Amino acid sequence: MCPRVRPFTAIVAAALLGASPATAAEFRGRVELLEKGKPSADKTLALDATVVVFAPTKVAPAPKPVVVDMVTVRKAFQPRILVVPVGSTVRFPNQDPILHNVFSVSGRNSFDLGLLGKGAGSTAVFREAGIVRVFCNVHHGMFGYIFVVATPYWARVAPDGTFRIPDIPAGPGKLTVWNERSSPTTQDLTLPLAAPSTIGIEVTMPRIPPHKNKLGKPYSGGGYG
Amino acid sequence: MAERRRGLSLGTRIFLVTGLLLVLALGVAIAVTSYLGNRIGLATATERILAGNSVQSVSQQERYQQLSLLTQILTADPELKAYLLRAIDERDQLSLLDQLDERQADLGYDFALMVDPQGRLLVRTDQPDAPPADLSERPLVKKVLVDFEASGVWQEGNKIYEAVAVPLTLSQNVFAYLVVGFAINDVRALEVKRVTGTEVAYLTGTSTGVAVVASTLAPAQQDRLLAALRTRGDLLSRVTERGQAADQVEIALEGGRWLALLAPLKDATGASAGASVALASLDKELVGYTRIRNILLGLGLVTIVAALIVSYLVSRRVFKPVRQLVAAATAARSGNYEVPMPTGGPGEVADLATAFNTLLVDLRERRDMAAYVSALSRNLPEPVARGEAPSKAERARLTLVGVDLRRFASPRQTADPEALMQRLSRDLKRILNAVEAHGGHLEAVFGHRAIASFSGGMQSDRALAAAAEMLAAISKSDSALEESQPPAIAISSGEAVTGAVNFTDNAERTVIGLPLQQVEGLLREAAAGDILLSPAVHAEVEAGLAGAGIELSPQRGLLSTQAIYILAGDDATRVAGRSISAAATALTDPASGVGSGVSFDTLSDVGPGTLLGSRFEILSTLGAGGMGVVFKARDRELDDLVALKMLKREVAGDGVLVERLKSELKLARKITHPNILRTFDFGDIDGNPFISMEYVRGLTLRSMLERSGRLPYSAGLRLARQLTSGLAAAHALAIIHRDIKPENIILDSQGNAKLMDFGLARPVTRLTPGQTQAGFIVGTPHYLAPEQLEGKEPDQRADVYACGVVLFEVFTGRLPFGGDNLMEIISKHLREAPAAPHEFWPEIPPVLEQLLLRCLEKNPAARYADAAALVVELDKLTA
Repeated sequence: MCPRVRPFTAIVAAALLGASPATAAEFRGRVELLEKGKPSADKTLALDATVVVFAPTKVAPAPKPVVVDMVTVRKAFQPRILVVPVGSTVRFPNQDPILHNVFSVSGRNSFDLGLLGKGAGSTAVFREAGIVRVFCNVHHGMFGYIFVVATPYWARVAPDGTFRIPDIPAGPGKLTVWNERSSPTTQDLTLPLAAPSTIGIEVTMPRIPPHKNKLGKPYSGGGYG
Repeated sequence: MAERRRGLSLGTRIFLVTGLLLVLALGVAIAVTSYLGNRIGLATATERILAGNSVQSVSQQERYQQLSLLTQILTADPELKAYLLRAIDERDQLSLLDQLDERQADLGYDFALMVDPQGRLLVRTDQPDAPPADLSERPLVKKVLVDFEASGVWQEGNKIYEAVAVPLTLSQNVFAYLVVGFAINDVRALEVKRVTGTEVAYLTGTSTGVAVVASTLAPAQQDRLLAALRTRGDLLSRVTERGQAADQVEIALEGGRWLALLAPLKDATGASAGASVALASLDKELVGYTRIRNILLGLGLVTIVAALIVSYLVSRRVFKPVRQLVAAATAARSGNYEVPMPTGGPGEVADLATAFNTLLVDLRERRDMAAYVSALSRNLPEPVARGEAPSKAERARLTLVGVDLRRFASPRQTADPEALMQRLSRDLKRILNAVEAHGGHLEAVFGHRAIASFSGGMQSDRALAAAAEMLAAISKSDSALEESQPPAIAISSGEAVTGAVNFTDNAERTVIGLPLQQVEGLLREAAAGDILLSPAVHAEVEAGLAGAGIELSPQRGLLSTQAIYILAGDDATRVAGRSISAAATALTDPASGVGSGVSFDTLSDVGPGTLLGSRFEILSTLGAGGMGVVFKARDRELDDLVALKMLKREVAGDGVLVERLKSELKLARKITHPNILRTFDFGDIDGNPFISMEYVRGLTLRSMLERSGRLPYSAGLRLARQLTSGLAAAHALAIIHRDIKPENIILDSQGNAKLMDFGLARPVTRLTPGQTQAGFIVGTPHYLAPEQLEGKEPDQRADVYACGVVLFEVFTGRLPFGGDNLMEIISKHLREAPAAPHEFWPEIPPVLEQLLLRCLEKNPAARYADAAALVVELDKLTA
């Protein structure tokens, strides 16, 4: 199923709560998704599809690359959202009885694994920070996100909208908040914060992100039906 | 009566015909509406299904195009093709199926399958677990294997699809063929219906026969549709198997009649895979016309009912008088003329009623008159009243006439006794004639003397007239005989008693009283040829004598102390000459004739058996009068019964008079009217002038009035109408009667009145002294108009006056002007107003009374102009 552009504007609000000591503290906050400035009532929005990343201005220790799986099962990527450090390897095992394809056209992180039968599948390595969108070229309803980060200070937002990043050094940095239904928003922030605050994020994206096929062309038949 | 009533009454017929016409009109209107409605409905329905059919065919083409576009999208996707090729290579049916399902979700086709280049089944969406099968013979596959493209109906069991097939190629190599299709289902049928407005059904042949695979119809209707189509011969197989086009057919489904058009559904090779059916409800197309028809029917029925009610009422109303007429006519047929007539009714009916009413009135009057006449006739012996002896004795004021036939006083010894008696008989008969001609009675004969009595009005005048007449007759008639002495006559008047004396087997009439004494005394004084009058008599006739220029002076008698008035022989003859009364024709007493022969000296010699002028065979005497005698005779020339009136020579002696009579009779002969007694001929026989007239057996109005007084109203009215209409016929020819009186009106046994003696009335004697024509009114002056009495020339209005008097007498039984003597009567006619009719008959209708009084106006100008005007007035009266 091709994604349809939603007729309304969504806002994601993220609350950032700082109550940390001068050197290292825990960064807690709360994210709220907004539409036109008001809390969204859209049940399809998932707060836990939100990632909060803090990049200190000071050089921070690079995170250690990992190897994780993003499985294709029941014509979906599972998990739908992965957060991996730069240099990590993601394996795409196919647990469906049918053929799948996995590809991405997200900049330097682009890859195409070809048609994959049921089995262990192939792997892809992500060497640049950023959001990588992953698709299957024969199943247009399949999509996944791999958030490649260069900092160890990040967190997945809980279903209730709260998040917690422990052991975060005090000092200035950039805070990026992203929900699968919004563009990533980045702001300057100096930790610790005087008081907890809420940051709103605007929901701008359709549920299934618009994308082109791996040749950079629109899928044929898009929009029909 | 066994007469059968034929069918229905006129009213019912008109009622039924009206109803029938209305029903017919309504029927035609409904039939035309239905016919046109049916035709238009059929045309509309036909147009609709034809349009439906073409829309159906266009939409099928669109479907194929749409399917083509879908296949282009699929075949243009290299990822898909790579995926499919890989799946085929790996015999990965699941992936193939997944992709077909995936695309189905995207592209919306209802069915897809893939075959390998040999036409063997790879995968199909409708049967995911279908085992591999060879589909190369399926039309669509067969065609695409050859032509690389195909479209057509794909039948799968009891499902059909519109489908296209395309090859899937990669690097110029065909690795599979793809078939996609849209289902022909109820949704599709509804879409077509939305566009075309027709009901739609799709049929296809299955293992169990032709079945409905999709339709807008309810399942029950589908079954009926199939059943109905199956009855149409090989229509189904022709379309669904052989793929032939068909004409529309009319079938019956629930909801009425439908028009169905079948078109074949063709598969890729052009063979038939089923049929589409477009259905239009004729009844729905006709619904407008059906409504019009129903409204028409409803209104028509209401109109018919209303019209029938109205027509029933109208016909009842119109035919009510007709029915009444029928009832009245039926009643009249059985003799009841009293049933009332309707007076109203439209036009012709009213005319009919009026005419019928007139007829009924006429019948009623005729019946009354006939009954009246016949009742009278029964009481009268025939011939009329000869020697009638009053059974009752009565005392009355009478005028007696004594006649002494002196020549028989001392018969010679040589005289033959037989001849003597014969002569005496003859003379007595002459006396009798004269007496009866003037309405007197011969009371007694003893020896050569006779006593006659006169009663009633103008009795002395009449007595004198009779006396003068007998004197003249007897004096002249015996001129050839030896005994030529004329008779002596005496007239006296006064109280006397008449009646029958009965001392033998036969009752005899006689008279006793002072006048008899006086007559006998006078006779002794009288010389032969004289008429002696007593003073009382003289007083009564003085005026009449003066009119004739005769004046008598009283003389002393030899034996009597009373004054005597002597009318000497010459004067007596003069009086007699003037004494032709129209009463002469009154039918009174038949004379018995003496002997027979063609030649006669006096009318008295004529009797039954006499042949007059070789032409008239005398049968009997009808009457005698001053003018002459009336015989019933057979006219040998005409071979008919006639009344023959022989005029006395004395009357005829005046040549001028005869000529005048002749011309007037000639004129009178022209009148042809049922109420006028016809005059046939006029001439003379041996110097005796005669008039032959229509013979009528009946009574004069005079004798009727004498016997019964006034007539019943209806009889009187009938008589009045007849009298006036007869007279009107005369007046129309400018003929005046001049002497209308009851004696001149004869009623036949049917009660029909006939006016007679036209032209016989002499010019009226003048009263003014000094005129040469001055004379003596011997007849009755009762019916003469004032202007006639004054001696002026009368016109029609004098007849109107006379009619008035006659009718006055007819309706009241009395005369408008009474009086004992001539002068008194004349004076009243000239000066006095008539008695009011209602004094004598209180119930007289006012209109009739006014009519009578108007007739009796002194001034002619105030009367009705003529008899015709009187007829009109009388018509306003109903019995």
